[in-house]
Amino acid sequence: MQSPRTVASNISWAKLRPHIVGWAFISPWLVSFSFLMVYPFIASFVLSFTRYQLIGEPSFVGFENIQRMLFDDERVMDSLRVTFTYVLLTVPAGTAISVFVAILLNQKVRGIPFFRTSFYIPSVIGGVGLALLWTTILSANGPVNAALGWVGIEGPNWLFDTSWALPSLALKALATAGAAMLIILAALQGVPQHLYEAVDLDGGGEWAKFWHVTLPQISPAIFYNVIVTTIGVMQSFVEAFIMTNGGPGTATLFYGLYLYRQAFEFYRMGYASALAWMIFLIILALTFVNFRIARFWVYYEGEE
Amino acid sequence: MSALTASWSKSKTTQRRLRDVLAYILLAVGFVWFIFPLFWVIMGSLKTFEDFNQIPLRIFPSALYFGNYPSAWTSVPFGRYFINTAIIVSLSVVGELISASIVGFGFSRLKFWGRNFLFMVLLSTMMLPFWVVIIPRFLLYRDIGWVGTWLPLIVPSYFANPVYVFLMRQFFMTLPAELDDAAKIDGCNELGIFWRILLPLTKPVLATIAIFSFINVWTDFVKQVIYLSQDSTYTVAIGLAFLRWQIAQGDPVPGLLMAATVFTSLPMIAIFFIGQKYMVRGIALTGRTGT
Repeated sequence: MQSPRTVASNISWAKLRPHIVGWAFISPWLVSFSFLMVYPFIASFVLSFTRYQLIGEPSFVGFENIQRMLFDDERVMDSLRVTFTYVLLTVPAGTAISVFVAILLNQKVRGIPFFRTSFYIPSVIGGVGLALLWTTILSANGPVNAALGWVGIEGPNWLFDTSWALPSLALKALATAGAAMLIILAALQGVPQHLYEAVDLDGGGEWAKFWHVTLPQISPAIFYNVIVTTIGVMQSFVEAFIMTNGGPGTATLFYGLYLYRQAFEFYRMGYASALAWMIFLIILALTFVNFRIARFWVYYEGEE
Repeated sequence: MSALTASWSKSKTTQRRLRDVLAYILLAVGFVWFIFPLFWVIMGSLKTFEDFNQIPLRIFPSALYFGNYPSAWTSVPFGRYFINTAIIVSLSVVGELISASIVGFGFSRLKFWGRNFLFMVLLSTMMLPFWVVIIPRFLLYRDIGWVGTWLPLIVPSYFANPVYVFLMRQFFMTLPAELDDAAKIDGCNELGIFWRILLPLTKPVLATIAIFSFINVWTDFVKQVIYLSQDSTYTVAIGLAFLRWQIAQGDPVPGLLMAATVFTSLPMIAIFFIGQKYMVRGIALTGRTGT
């Protein structure tokens, strides 16, 4: 005979068990979410109001960091200008190139796997290796200037020229748009064939197919890419760190590079945290604006 | 009538052929655009110093010169850096595979309080900018004495990267629920279902995650440069950066830099060729390359 009490606890255990097991399975993520996401996210907000040079305790300074960041530190505005310019140079053109290349890779001709592989290879190398590769391509006596020489143009010393350094980094970004290209290619392959047949029946040509079927159908994928690449490009670091070291002057001083220097070269942890929160808010606002603009050009199935 | 049809279909094939030719021309342009830089660096790595000063500049070396490779290999202790990077990468890959499959299983095959909400939270953290969390993470690792070691680069891999969790979950969702039910009748608990029934079926996704994390950890320069501070712990990416700065300070051997770029890229290119199928599928599914 079981006492009523054990029965009750058995019932609640049976009820509780799946939830406990579920939480146990996701617990590795709960740990990293708490300690590597939530805690740092809040801590960097708090640190923004302190001065902290790694020694002793952080001392509360109120709005001093924010005041300096917004009004007194010219470098912040310089780096924001550089970063926004870089976004404008790379995101629209990069999106256009990846759509164009994806359409090209979706043609029914022989040898597509070969081309797809070769187009993606630069993106695989990534990081410092790719930055070095482009440093040599853009050197004063490199192949780009040699090619320009053939048509009688004397090319600049790309990475060391105040007005060309940032476009040079953008050029490198455009030649490595691999992931975006594959995402859009996947979207293209998911466009239902019967929609094209409908255009055929209406007597529409290739252009009508592209404009009225392909583009609306892949617009969510394009939108997704714009969001993700904007967020990524706003945080750029390695290109400038390796290829130009932010120079000449402040010509390629990415926000990420400036933040890195404040935090890990000058150890101004409080000030760098304020900078980090500002870029977070800017990225959040940009993403919000992107979603607003999306209403006008992104097509979702089942919407009229 | 039949003549008319014939000429119509003929013009259709001509049109088709023109289209193909145009496609090939554009594909060739794309090929040059994406591949030429790599080709240039490979050729450059085989050039002597004199080759670089020739006017006009030549694409091909005057003779195949392999001397850049040994000098690049020893200019910075790349041997040790390769071993270090291999250790960091392999331990991280193992961690990502274990943690992402466990957590992905939880989010897809189990029902529990808060599951959908927590999964939305997980997805939204994928968009959180790296810079906003890096400083407190650094301070946290410093306080527990991990800065200067490989631990900040390896240990987080064992606590589930959201992108890989998402990838695992999407795959687990495609497996029929009958598998779990049958296993339950046979007396399997959740751990048994996960380990013995479902995990063996997920090899393709595990391959995708292994490739993504291999490439991402290998090239993750920012974290390496923030957390590592002693020569004995440095990685390939840091070695490359050293080489870059040496050359910036006036050591004028472009071939050496190019040779280093080639041999440090080889692991990535090899992995890509081995696992291309899995990688392409993973990018199409998640829209990300794992970061």
